[in-house]
Amino acid sequence: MRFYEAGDKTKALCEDCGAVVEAVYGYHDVAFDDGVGIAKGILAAACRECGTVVAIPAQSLPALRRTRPVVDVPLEVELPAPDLEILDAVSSRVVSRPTTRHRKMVLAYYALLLASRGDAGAVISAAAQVLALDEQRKGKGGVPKKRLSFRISDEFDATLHGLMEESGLKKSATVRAIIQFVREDVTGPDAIGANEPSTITELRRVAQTMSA
Amino acid sequence: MARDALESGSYAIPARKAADAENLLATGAVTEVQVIAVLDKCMGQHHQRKPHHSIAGVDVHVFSRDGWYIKVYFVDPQTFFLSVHR
Repeated sequence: MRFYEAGDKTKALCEDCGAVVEAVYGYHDVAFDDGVGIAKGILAAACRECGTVVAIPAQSLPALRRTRPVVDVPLEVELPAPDLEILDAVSSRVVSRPTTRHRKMVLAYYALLLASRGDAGAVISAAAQVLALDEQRKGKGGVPKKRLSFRISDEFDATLHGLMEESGLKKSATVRAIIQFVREDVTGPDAIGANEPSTITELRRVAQTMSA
Repeated sequence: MARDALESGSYAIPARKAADAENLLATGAVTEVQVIAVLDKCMGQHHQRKPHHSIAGVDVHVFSRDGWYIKVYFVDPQTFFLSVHR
C-alpha cells in the first residue's frame, strides 16, 4: 500500500476551480456536504489554487469512517421455534454463556459467508430445503412461532438486502435460508469432534475476539 | 489501472464523495478485493466512458456488472473512485 505524507503532490479535479489542478497533501479538517460530520486532522489533498480539499487517499479512509455515525436498523422476523434453537445450539458451541447477541453474531457470520460466495443458487436451494422441513413438520403437530428481534448495523442490513435481491426471497425466507446453512453445520455427522466444520472453529475465534 | 490502484492501495476518493453513504468503498462496506473481483468480471459490454459532469477533458469510466455500479476516473498519477454502489 502506498502511504502519502504531508507535502507530497498529486493531481486532482477541483470542482470549485472547474479544472484539473495540482494538489498538495496535508492534514485538514474535512467537512462533508451532507453536514453529518467532520473528520478532524486527516491527511487529504487540497487544491493549490483555492485550498479546497479535493482528494482523500485510501490511507485516510479508516479515520474518515470513524466519523460516520453508526446507524442501527431493526431486524424483526417471525420464525418457527426450531430455527431459533439452531441459532442457540451454535451459540452454545462457540461461547460458554450465550446471549441473544450471539444469535445475531451467528446469523451475521453465515450471512456474510454466503454473501462473499456470491452464490444465489445456494441460498435459493436452502430456502427450498426449509420449505421441505415445514412440510415434514405438518403431520407432527404444531410448531410455535417465535420472534427474532434485534438491532443490526446498516452494513449487516445491506448484506441481508444483497442476499434478498440476489435470491429474490423475502426477508424472513432469507433469514431462514441462512439458518438452514447453520443447521447443516451443527447437525452434520462431523458437527462435534476433531473434524467439526471450519465455520464453527472460526466462529469460536470470532466470539472470543469479540469478548476480549 | 483501476485494478492496480486498488491492489496497491494508491487510489483516492474525491473529497465530496468520501462521506457518501452509498460509496461502499469509502464506507468500508466493501473491500478493495471485492471491487477487484467485480472489475475482473467486466468485459467490454460492461464498460462505458462518459465525460465528467463538470470538468471538460476528463472521462469517467463506468463499470456495471451483477448489480454493481463502479465509477472511476484517472488524473495521472492518481485513480479516483467516484462511486462504488450496489
